[in-house]
Amino acid sequence: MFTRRRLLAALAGLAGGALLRPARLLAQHQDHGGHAAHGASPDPHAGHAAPAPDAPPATHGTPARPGRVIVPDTPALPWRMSGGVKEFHLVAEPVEREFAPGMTVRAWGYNGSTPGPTIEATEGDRVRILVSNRLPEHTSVHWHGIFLPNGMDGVGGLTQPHIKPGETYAYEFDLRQHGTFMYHPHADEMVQLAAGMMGFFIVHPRVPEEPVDRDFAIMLHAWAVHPGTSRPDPAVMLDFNLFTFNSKVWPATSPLIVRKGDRVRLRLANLSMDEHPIHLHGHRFWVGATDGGVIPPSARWPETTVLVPVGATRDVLFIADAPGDWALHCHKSHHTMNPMGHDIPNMLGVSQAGVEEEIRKHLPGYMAMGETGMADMQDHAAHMQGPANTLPMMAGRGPFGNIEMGGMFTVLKVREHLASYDRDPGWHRHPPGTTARKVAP
Amino acid sequence: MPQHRSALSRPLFGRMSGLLSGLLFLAGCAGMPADRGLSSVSEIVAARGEVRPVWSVNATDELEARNRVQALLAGGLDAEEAAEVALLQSAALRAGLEEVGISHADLVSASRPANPLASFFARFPDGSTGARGTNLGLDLTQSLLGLLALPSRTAAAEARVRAATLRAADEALLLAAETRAALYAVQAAKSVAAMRGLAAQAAGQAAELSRRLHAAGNLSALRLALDEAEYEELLAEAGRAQADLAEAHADASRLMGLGETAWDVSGPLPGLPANDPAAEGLVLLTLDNRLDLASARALADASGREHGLAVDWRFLDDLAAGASAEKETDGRWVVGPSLEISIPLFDQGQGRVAEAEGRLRRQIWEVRALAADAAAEVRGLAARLAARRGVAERLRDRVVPLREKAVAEWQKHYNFMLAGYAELLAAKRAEYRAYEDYVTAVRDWWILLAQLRRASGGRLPGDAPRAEPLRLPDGAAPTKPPADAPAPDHGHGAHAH
Ligand SMILES: [Cu+2]
Repeated sequence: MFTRRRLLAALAGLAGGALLRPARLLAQHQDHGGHAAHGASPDPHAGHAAPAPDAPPATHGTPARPGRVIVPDTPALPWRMSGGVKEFHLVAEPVEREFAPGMTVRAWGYNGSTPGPTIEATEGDRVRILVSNRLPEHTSVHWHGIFLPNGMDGVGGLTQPHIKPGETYAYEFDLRQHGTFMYHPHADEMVQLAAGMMGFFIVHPRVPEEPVDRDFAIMLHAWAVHPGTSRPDPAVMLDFNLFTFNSKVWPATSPLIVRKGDRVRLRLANLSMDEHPIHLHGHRFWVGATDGGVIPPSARWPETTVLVPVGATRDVLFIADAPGDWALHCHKSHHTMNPMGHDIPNMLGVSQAGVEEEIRKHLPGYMAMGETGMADMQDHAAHMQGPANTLPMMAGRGPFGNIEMGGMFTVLKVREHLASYDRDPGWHRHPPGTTARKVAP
Repeated sequence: MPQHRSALSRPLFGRMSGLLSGLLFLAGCAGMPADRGLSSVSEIVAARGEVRPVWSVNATDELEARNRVQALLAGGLDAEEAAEVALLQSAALRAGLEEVGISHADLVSASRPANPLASFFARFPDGSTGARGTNLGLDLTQSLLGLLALPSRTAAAEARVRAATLRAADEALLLAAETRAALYAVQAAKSVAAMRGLAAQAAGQAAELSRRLHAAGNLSALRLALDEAEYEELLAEAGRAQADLAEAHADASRLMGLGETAWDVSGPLPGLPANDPAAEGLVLLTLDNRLDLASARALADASGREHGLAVDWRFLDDLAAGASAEKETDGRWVVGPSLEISIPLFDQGQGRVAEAEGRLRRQIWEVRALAADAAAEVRGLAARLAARRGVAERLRDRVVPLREKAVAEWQKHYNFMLAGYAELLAAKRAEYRAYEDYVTAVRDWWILLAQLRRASGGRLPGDAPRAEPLRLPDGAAPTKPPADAPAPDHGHGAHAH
C-alpha cells in the first residue's frame, strides 16, 4: 500500500519544497500591497504541483517578496510610502470586542481592534510608526524582539517620555532581521496588557527562506472578565477566566482552512501571564523560529505540542497532509473552556435526589448539576439563563454532538478539494470505515 | 288654746314640706341610671371611631357579648377585631368602667339634701310640783346650708361624672390601641417565625448537600462542620422567633382578657397604606379630642364649682331652720320656729377656701401638663410614623426587590456553574431576612399609628384602618385556610414546615 509517508518521502527526494511553486510566489508578490483587507490570501494554488516533505526545508529559495500572513479575526495595518519610509499609524484607544456571540468586552486596543492590526514589513525596510494616544492615560509602544536604536525601544520613562493622551509619537527604525515579533505598551502594563493592547509585527525575510502556502498567526491571551461584567479586571494575576486566540473564544474562533498538502506556518505569540502548550492533532510540526530568529534546521525536532512561553513567539512549520477536522488548542484544559466558577463545590458523585425537589420549593429554577460530570452543562446552558454578557463554560456543536470546548480552541480543516480558502468547507466527510464505531452494547 | 296651736302648727308643717319638695325639684335630684353610665362611655368610644361596645349590664346581654366574642375568635382576628374583643371581654376594663357607676352614685348622693332631723322628747313631772301632765316636745330641723348649696354640689358631682365617663372612655381607647399594637406584634411575630423557618429550611438543604458531598469525599469535615453549624444556628434563631411569637400571643391574650381561650390571627399584617394620616392640625385636633384631657378639664370644672361653693359659704359652717313644738305639763302647746347658725368668730372658712383654691389650681396645672404632654406626644408620634414609613417603604421597594434580584442573579451564576448551591441558598436566606426586616418595619408603623390614634383621641383624617395584606414569599403567610377550603396550590413556592 502506498502510504502518505512514503509518498512524502518520495516527493522529498525531488527538490527543495521552496522551489516547487514559483508561480505562486509571484502571485503573492504581485498581490501584496499592505492596504488590502485582512485575512484571506489570494488563491495560492495556481500551479500547485505537489506537497513538500514535512521536514524543514533545508534550502533557500529565490529572492521574492513575502506572502501575506493570515491573522484570523484581525485586520492588517495599512501603510504608505513616505520618502522611502514605510509609514504606519497606530491609534491606541478603547475598543469593543465580541469574544463570541453573547459576550462583548470593553477592551483597549489599536485602531478599533484587539489584537491590534498586524504590522507586516520586509527585512531591510525602514519603517516609521506613528502612535496616537486616544486612551485616558499615557502609553508607549515597545517593539518586542526587534533590533532598533535604544531610543526607539518604547519603554516609557526609560527610553522615552510617555505618550500622553492626545499626543502622537513617531518611531522610526530600519528592520535588520526577519521573524515573528510583537508590539505592546510598556506603560502601566498591568492595565494595558490586561485590557488587550498587543499586536503582531511580522518581518518577512528579503529572500524567502521557507516559503509556505498558508501562513497563520495567532496571538494568545488570557483575560479576567468576571461573570456579568464586560471590562477586563487588571487586578487579577492568576485567576483568568477567558483564554483567546486573537481575542476570540471558541466557538467564535475562525477555523484554519488549508488544502491537503499545503505547507503551513503557524506563528504563535504570547503576552499573557501564563504559558500555553499549543497542541495540533493529526500532524507533527517543527518549531522553526522564535522571536529570537530562525532555529537552524539541524537543531529542530518534531513536536505535536509547542509551549509558547510568556513574552515569546514560536513559528511552527508543518505539511497539512492529513485530510480531516483537526483540533488545534491549548493543552491546559481550563484554557479550553469559557468561564467557570473556581470556588464551586465539587458535585461529582453526589446525588441530589430528594433534596433537589425541596430546594426547588425555595428556588423554582434550581437544577441538580455535576453528579456524573459537567458534560450536561452545555445542554443546560442552552435553556438556562446565565449572567449578562457571560458565555457558558462549554460550547460548540460538531457533526457528532457537543464539542464541549471554549477558549483556546479551533479546528484545522484540511481538505483534498477546496473551492476557496475563504469559505468554511463544513465538516469533514469521513471515508467509510474510518470513524470510531460503537461495538457494544 | 290647743286648737289654736294645733291649727297654727298644721299650716307650718305643710309649708315646710312644700318648701322641701320645691328645693328637691330645683336641685334636680338625680337617680341612678339603669346601665350605670356604660352607654355614655360606649357613645364616646364609638364617636372616636371604634366599634360601639355593648357592655352587659345583666345576664341577657352578657350572653350576647359572649356570643359576639366567640364569633370573632372563630374567624381569626385582625387588629380591629381584636380591639373589639378586648373592649367586650377585658375584665380589667370593666373594673375601670365601674368607676363611672360609682361617680353616678356620688351624684345621686350629692343631688339629695340632707334629711331633716326630727327630735322628740317626753318628760314626766315630779309629783311634788303638782303638775300632772306630761311635758312633750317635738323638734324638726332642716339643714339649710345643704339645701342652698345643693345646685352647686350637684353640678360639681355631674362634672365628676363627666370626668369619670371620659376617663373610662379613654381607658377603653387605650386598651383598644394596646390591643391593636399587640395584635400587630402577633401577626409580625408569626411572619418572622415563618421567614426564619424558611431560612433554616434553606440552610438545612445546604447542610444536607454538604453532608452528601462529605460522604462522597468532596468536602472536608471542616467545611461540613461550618455548614452544619450555620444550619443549627438558624434553627436556634427560628426557635427564638417561636418564643417571641408565644410571648406576643400571650400579651395579646392578656389585653383581650382571653385567659385560656385559643385564638389565632386571621392573616398577615396589613400592608402599608398609601399615606400617613394628615399631620396638619394634629395638635389642635388632639387638644379637642383627647379624652384624658377632656376628663381632666371636667375635673377642673368640678374643682371650680367646689371652689365657688367654698367661697360662697365661707362664713357658714352650718345653717339650719326648723320648728319646735312643746306640750307643757299643763297641757298647753307652745309652737315656734327655730334657727341654728354658726357664728364665724374663729373660723371664717379661710382653710376651706384655700384648700378648694389649691385643688382648683392643681387641676388647672394638670390640664395644662396633660395638654403639653399630648401635643409633644402626637408631634413625636407623627414624626416617628413618617420616619418609620420611610424605613418600611425602603425595605419594601428597594431592599426586598434587590434581594430577590440577587437571588435571580445567583441563580444565573449557578446555572453556568459560576456559583454553588451554598451561595445560592445563602442568597435566598438573605431574601427571607429582608422580608423579615420588612415585616418588622411595617409592624412598627402600625403600632405607631395605633399609638398616634390613641394619643390624638381617636381616628385621624385620612387614617385607613385596613389595607391589603402585605406580600410575603409563598408559603410564609401565616394564614390558616378555612377548614373546608381545598389546600392552596403553592406551585413552586416554598412551604413552611
Ligand atoms: Cu493555555
